[in-house]
Amino acid sequence: MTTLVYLSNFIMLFSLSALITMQLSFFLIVYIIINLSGSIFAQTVSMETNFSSLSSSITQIIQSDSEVDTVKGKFYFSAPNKIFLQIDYPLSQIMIIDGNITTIYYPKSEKAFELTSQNNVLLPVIPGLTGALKPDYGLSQFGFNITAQTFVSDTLVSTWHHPESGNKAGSFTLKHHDDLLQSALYQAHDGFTTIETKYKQYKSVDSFIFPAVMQTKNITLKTSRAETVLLDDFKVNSKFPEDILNFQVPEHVHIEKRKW
Amino acid sequence: MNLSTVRKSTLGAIVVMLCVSMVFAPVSAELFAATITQDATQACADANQQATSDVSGGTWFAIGCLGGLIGWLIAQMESNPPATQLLGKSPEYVASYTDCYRAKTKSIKSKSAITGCLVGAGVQVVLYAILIGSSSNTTN
Repeated sequence: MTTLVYLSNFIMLFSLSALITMQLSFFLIVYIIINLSGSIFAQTVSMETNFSSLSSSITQIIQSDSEVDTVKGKFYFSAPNKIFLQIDYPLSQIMIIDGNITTIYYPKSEKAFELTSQNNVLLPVIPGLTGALKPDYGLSQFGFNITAQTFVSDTLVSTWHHPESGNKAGSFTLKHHDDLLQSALYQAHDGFTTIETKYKQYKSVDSFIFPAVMQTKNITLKTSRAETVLLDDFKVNSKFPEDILNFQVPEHVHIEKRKW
Repeated sequence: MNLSTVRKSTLGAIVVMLCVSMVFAPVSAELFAATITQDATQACADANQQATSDVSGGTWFAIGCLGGLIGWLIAQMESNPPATQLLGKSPEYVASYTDCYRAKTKSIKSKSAITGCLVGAGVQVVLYAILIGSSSNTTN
């Protein structure tokens, strides 16, 4: 009888410790996945450019359910992962993204923020631009494969899926005309979320061809958002002005440090 | 120019200054404060909307369910919103947006993970009850 009680207690203790071990392993796996996926994505975004620097004037028009916001300025991108944005309208603002640190400085009010995030920050404009320069939109490096392609009139339409994750990663539909990307449509597995970017008015700069207009529509179950990015005055692999290269927030300005 | 004209114009200037300081200045200050408040409110609404679309409650429920208390702890990790949201926005908007986004993502993750954690714990309690019940039956 006593042996049976000891045995049942032993089984209970054993299953409890097994459960704790399982939970600890689960924590480790999830922690590794979360951190690794961020760094892999940051690497792939940053290393796939054939130029060392790029600058352009930028006008961004965002239309959400209730309002329209317009932002005007200039950006200076330095590969692999640094961007300097000088915004002139609607206010004077300087934003510098370098890896996982975003610095925002307001020259007129002399206020500054330093936002630190866990992973590298996804740069504005650059992923869309670099994606348009690649025949596969950069999808191969994320593990997507072509599952169908056909010509509709003189436009090549290709569909891309992620074979390992089934439908969970959603699908991409790319449309090319004269080897230039016309549109990229992402459809999420939930059946509601779609993101479509249309690329227009390509311009030749040195050996590169950049789209001067990128129109993105992002529709989810609850929200819809349209973004138009107008780019002009492209400069590739040129040296940036000294005040951009060596920019520092003035010493007397207090920098408010925050974490995302 | 005689003395009374000087007095009158001085008095007029004082009246104008008083009007400006007592009426227009407070009104403009109120308008300024209202603009800042509106900016912060809009920032919070935008941040909440972005956080809701960025964070999947279902995933964090599963993490809480399988990872228990540890899953809830993972839920405290921070997210990385896109920087484009802060382009051309005022300092008040940036401050409010970062605070609200962080709070909202944590709230969604924590709520989902703690619900998952409780459901997981409930299942464990039931399993132990069955185990204890079966062992006491065996001892009897």
